[in-house]
Amino acid sequence: MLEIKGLSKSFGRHKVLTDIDLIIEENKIYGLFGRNGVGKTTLLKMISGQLSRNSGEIKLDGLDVLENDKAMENLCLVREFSNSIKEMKVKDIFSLASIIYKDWDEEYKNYLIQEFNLRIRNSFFSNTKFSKLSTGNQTIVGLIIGLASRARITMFDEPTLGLDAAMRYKFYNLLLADYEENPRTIIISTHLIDEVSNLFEEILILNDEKIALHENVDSLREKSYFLTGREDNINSVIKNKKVIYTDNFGSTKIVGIYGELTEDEIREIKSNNIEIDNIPLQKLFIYLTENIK
Amino acid sequence: MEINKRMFRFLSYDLIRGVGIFWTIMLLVDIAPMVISLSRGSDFIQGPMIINQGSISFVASNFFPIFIFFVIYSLEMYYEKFSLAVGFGGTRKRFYQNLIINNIIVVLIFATIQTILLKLENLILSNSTIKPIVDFGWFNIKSDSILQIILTLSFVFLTLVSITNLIGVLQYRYSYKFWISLGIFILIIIRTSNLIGRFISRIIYHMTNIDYIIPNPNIVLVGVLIIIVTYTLGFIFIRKANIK
Repeated sequence: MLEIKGLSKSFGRHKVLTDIDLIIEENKIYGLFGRNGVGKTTLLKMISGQLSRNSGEIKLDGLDVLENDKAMENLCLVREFSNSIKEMKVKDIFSLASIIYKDWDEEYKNYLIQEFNLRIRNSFFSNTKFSKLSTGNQTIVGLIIGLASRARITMFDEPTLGLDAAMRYKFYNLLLADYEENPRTIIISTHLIDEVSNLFEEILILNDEKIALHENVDSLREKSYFLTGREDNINSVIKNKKVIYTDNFGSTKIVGIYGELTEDEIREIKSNNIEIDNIPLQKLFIYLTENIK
Repeated sequence: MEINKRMFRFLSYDLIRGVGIFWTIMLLVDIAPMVISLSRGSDFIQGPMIINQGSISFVASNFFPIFIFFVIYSLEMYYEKFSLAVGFGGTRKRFYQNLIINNIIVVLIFATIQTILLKLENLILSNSTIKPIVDFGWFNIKSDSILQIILTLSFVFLTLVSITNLIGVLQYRYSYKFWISLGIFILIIIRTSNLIGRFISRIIYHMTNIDYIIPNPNIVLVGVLIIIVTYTLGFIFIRKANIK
């Protein structure tokens, strides 16, 4: 189990994260969301020991992750490679990854190369430099490393950068298939929320330097509703509800509410000829991050 | 132990190829002028060489390229390997520990090859009209054993590598700011006429002046101190470095 307590990080005077408390449980898939610049990558880099923190603790099985071999060898963060790495050959990057990751699965890596059809000039990995690959193929190299690392906690930061729709869905399917056979903790930071919403078991939303929301996906969906109907009918049922979205079309009003609804409340809503739907995760994220204080 | 093995293999990846390419080129650079000079006689000596009071060594001209190799090797360690190692879940401490071991192995390899080449050169040139350099200050090619020369060269190379390692660390941490600071520091040294400036200038002069390298206990002590201080400083600067 990964425990984060009182985690804070600033870059100079600019505070990015303040007093983050979080527990990441074993063998679950987490979605990490937040607006641009809110600190998602910063959080992931601190968890993986790549970035120092100003205060707080990050512990894996009770061991602080920073500079701890036992903890860090169980962590893998897949993110955009730095410029220095881009000058290396792809086969060398894979070879180095296979050396350093204790649970590296070489067979699975070869399988993934075939599945992702990672070809460079009609051959798989000649002596091509990483920088010569397309953006999508560069991303695929990172995804393959993340999947084949078999690290206990594998984190993907924007794993779909440059990928076409077919490849994105290929990745999601491969991830799920492997997760079912070889469970591990996976954290995915992405902006394409609706595409991956079916993958996640829990959602984390970062906003305003803090974890603004940490919820199970199913219960999140059950707490968020679009209500569409006549304005006066709508207004009567949303009196004590948290409204996160409002729009008007003539006499029709659409509101998004966040909060549980009892069976009686749902009955009352329907009896007022109000349409009730769940809010898609992507829209819910947008509304919540604009409303969460 | 397992972690150390993995990190060591990681750091040694592609090392043999790099060292092999370097020494292949050095051999060609050493052999070609030697062959040309030998075939034309002592009046037509050509190519990179060191001349000392009429004595010549082609192989001794390897020392500067060796230093350049160490600089590039150290910079590359941090530019590529360090960020990958920590990015792939290694710790900075483990990286640094195995880097020092890697440095020691590299200097031993280089010292061994250079010693063998010096010995071979002495053998070849002794049977020609060209007079070879025998006394290199720190060691004598004729009277000293191969092991003695290897150990001496290893010590010298390790001192150099410890310095280039620190440069690699500082370059990684501070990039262009390091070079600007170094430039300003050197300008201050050159410009300043006060006691501290003269003292530092003398140290730098003695460290860089090959003629001054006379084997005496003080120089050895200075070398040991340099190794300890530079590696320690390197660790201090790298242990909290963020991965770019």
